[in-house]
Amino acid sequence: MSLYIVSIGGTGAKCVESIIHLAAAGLFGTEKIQVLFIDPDESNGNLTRTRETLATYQACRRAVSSSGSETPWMQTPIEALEVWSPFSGSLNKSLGAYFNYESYAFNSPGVGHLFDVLYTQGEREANLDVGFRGRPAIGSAIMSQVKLDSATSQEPWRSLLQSIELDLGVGGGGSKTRIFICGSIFGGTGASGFPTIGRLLKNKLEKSGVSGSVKIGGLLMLPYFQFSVPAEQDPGAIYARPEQFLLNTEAALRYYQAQPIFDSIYLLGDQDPASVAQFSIGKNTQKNDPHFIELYAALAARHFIAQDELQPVVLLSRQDEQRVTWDDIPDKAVVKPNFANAVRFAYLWAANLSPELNAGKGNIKNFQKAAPWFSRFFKPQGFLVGGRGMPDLNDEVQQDAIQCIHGWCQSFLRWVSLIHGSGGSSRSIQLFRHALLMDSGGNVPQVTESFPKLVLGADNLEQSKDVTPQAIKEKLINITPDPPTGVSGLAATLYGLCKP
Amino acid sequence: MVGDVIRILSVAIVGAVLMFLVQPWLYQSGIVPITQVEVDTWLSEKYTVGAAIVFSTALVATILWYISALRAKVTAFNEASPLRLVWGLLLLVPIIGICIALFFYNNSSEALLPLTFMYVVDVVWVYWFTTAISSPGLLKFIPPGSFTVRHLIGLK
Repeated sequence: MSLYIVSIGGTGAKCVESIIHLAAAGLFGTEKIQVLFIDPDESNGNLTRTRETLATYQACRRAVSSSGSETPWMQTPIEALEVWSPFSGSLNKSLGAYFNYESYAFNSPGVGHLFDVLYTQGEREANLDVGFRGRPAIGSAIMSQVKLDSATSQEPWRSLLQSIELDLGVGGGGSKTRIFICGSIFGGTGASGFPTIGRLLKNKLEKSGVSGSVKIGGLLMLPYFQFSVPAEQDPGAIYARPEQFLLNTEAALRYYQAQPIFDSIYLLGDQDPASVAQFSIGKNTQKNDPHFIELYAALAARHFIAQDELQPVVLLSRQDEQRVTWDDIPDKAVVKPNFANAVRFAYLWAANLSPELNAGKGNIKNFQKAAPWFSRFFKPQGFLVGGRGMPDLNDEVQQDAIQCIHGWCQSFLRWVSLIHGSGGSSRSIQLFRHALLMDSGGNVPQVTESFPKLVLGADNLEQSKDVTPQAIKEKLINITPDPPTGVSGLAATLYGLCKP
Repeated sequence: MVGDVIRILSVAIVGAVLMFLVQPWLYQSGIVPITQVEVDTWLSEKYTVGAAIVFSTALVATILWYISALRAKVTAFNEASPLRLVWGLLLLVPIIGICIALFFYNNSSEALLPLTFMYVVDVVWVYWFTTAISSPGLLKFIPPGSFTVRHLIGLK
């Protein structure tokens, strides 16, 4: 089963960020995921952060791939095609320039007048390199001009469609393929791109005769955040207005009711929108913290690829308005242990192992005596102590691997910590004791007494003596058969021992 | 833990055989000559008591070290290293035992040097070697030389 994710706009990118983190926890299997980002605002803060998250994931995955271990950690290959913007190659990124509005006065005055009825001068002239400014009417007009037939001669569409055709094999008899499109219903880029891209892809696949082998799923994010427009902002300027989100949503839902594009559609929203601290029209300042609803977005993608028989509409609710607990997580029996395993490992690595390895590399002879697990994974120093063929901790490859894994741990724990904080004052997210994961400086505290208490709703772990970092490191010493060596072997072995 | 306890008991038994059978035989057979005093009387009245003091202090120090190591809360290497001081302080116990044995339970100046040498060997065996191969968990390599010894005999 191959999964292609088409991420539209900033919200789509945030959904992909969550997918990457859950894939790291082993919740997406071993099949490759390819991601196509669509955003006219190529420097969007949310998009940039997701691409950085993906780069961190890929670097870490490369670093640990040599272990040969069969842990679920980092088993999903994820690749991203280049970001696609409908304005690629254009110097003037405005609606008017895109449609060559100036020529209407001479060539088609009637069309020009219709244009004036549909769009204000401000909307026509607004610079769209910051996105579609919360105006789906602008985005839809531009997105509808995308011709996949001619676009397939350009990247990244060409790579995407070639890859799908390769997966399907000759005559469509190859592996199953699913396309998952995610974006917001209430903004600009997502609201306009979601139905348009969905329709274009469906038409293209039907033309190629393979639409029966490809399932298209869609995730629509309903309004889940809000922001205050600063008083100094020009009320006549073109930007997203949170008071219009629900109106946009209502209009869009009417449209989707009549358009059978998707084989399965997921709707996610929050009745109590989170407040975004900083207003931004676009570019790199438009960067919202992760939200717990995006965790559900990733679980929706997981649900989509796991189902043999697709449900047309999937609904979910939580038991208590005031809190989100493990009982509200779909497929909890699989998601909880894998997610908890990843959090426990990331915490122990970042808080304990990684600082130890960094401190010990300068004096291995003493370090190996105080850290008896060391010589099981790295070449010991000394006379008649063996270790032939084992990697040296001070090797550049080993040091890079430590930094890559540490970088992933920080990124992952930061995301987990922030989704817990996204409930605001009215809801409590109760999956992990997130206050233990990060200090005020955004770093993992190097204190591990709290390790047994990380997972909420796991009382048996708190009481078990086998759960302490000390007990886990003692298991590292005695593990049989001999574990894979090097940083990758150490990390993979530790990941297995952190399983709740 | 079971393996550690078996090793402690095994080494202690070998140490006891060494101290209460082999070493007395060395004196009785004249390999280590003692002429100033009557050997059998010296062995029964002085040596046995002195050896028992050295053996028991070394064994007590070993057990105290093992219990301390078992109960120690260690999560990082910089928490393990200071416990070498504890090991060193416990070494003073059998050293004091040697001093008591030599001062109060030896009336032969001729036997002083070989006795001192043998008591040191006994303490090395009963305390150092035992702790070197039997320290538990994250403290297994804290006794000096334990890293090399364990790797040499395949107990890493």
